[in-house]
Amino acid sequence: MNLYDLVNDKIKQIQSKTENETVSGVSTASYLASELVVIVSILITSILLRKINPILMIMGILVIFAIILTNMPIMPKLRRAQNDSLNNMMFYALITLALLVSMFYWGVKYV
Amino acid sequence: MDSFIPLLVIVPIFCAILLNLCHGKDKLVKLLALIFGITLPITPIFVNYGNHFFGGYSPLFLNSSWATNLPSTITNSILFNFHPAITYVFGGMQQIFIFILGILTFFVIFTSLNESKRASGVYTFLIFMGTAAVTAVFLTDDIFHLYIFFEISVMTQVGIILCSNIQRKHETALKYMFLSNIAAPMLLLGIGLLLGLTGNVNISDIIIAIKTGVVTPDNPVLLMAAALILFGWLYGSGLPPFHSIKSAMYSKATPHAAAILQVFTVFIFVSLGIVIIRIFAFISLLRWIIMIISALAMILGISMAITQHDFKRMIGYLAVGELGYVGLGLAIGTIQSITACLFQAVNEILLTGLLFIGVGTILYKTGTTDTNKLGGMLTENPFVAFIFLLTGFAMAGVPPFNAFQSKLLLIQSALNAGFPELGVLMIILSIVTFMTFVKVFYTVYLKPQPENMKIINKKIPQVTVISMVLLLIVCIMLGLFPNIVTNAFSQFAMGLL
Repeated sequence: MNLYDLVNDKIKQIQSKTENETVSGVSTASYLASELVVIVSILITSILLRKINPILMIMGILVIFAIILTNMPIMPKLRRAQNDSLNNMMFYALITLALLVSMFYWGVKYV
Repeated sequence: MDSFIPLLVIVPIFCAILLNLCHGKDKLVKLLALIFGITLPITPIFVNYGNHFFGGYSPLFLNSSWATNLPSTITNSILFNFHPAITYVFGGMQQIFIFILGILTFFVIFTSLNESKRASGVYTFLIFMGTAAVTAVFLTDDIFHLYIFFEISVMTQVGIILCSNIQRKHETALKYMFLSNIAAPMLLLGIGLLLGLTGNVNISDIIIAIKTGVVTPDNPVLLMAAALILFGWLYGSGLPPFHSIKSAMYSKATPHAAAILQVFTVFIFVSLGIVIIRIFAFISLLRWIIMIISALAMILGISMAITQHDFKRMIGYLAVGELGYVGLGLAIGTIQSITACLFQAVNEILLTGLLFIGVGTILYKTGTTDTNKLGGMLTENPFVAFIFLLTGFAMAGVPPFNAFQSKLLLIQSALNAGFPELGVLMIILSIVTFMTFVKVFYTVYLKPQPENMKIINKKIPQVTVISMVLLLIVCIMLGLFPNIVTNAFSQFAMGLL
């Protein structure tokens, strides 16, 4: 099964749970484009880790690459995670708050 | 000291109150709203640059005659530099932003009054009140004063959403309020910690306190304050993890209301972002966090935008993505990048506002913004379609429009600062933005008209078209002559660093 079919099936699967709409070629192409954009952009952004430590960058890219490969297609999952559910929003807000506080408390001396 | 600086806040507040007093008299309300609306972009042109100290209590170092009889324990100490009054700072950068805010507010009021039969009500009041709040946020050098007006702007944003007639608006507004109940107290707590440490809420004084060693920079309480204020900034600006609710807010507002909401968001983003950079510039981790969050905003915003089928939601996500560019400029932290960041912020205000007003024309004719239900709109009004296409090009960074200049400056600054990967990221995401507009233009204007699509047989209001044309002219002018704004921004950036 190629990536296009995989993305198409995943969208149908998600939309059947949430929306009563047909999956058009335009929407599948959009998902496919955004899938590629997300993968490329995250990998490019992770190169920034070289400023902290080159070995960390290599490890980071390998880990991100492995996560991406095992979770493709990412975009439908990403969209499902970013829906308008208040629970999701609260969850991500609190996780971010915890991360920020932890990073500022323990991480300042390492960067 | 310039006594007229507070007028920038007082005029919209006074208008908001006056409109409320005239409730029920629609003609009078329309007239007053238009008169005050037009004064908003004019006022900053005539106000002189300078500082305004409320109550006339200027710092001692500016009034050495006051210090003659004071003991040396005060004149030789840090107290000599302290600001006893709430201070407003008005310079070239603030002038440009407040002028742009005035233009957008005027066009939004102009189009909304033209589209609605009843001018009375809370909607126009909220727009003026929100304008006053974000202007105060932008001018103030007092972080607690900033917080108060930040809260007022949040309230007005919720109110503006509730004024729309879109389904499930209450739910979205309530969610925004819930999230506000997490983020705003954190921001206040951060300010409280700063007050506890430095004994002051004036931003310049806090910086002096940190620089002169009154507070040690590695103090854990100071670091917590940085984390909490940063979290408040993420909420106010709609950066991840608050990007979903921000785009939902835009989609539940009427198009002209969404245009003004995004202006408020960019104002909060820029003003609070500058405050964070000013106070906590010594924390190198902060710049990294802003950089990562901004990159994430760009990636998530633009990749989510392309998958949306609701036109307004799509622009909402694009607005979040464009804010990422602004954040990157702030995080890179050079004079060139901060100049580019401010220029990009102005461009985002203009272009996103223009796009939302453009969406209004589609909604007006068809009653929907769902691209799956739209098509063939090119034959309805080719001129509006052409303006929309040019706006899309502008937002994607196509020359000779304004965003081309700001994005080019941002990419150059990233390369000069040793971040080529950020330059590549910005180029890729600009291409995707372009692709998103091609998709939208095809689905709304070029695709064959669906059989069940209904088009209202009424002409698009001339006022809306005029607003779009004038905003586009401003975009082209800034694209051809970027120095109109970049000189002032560059001077501000030099002062900041």
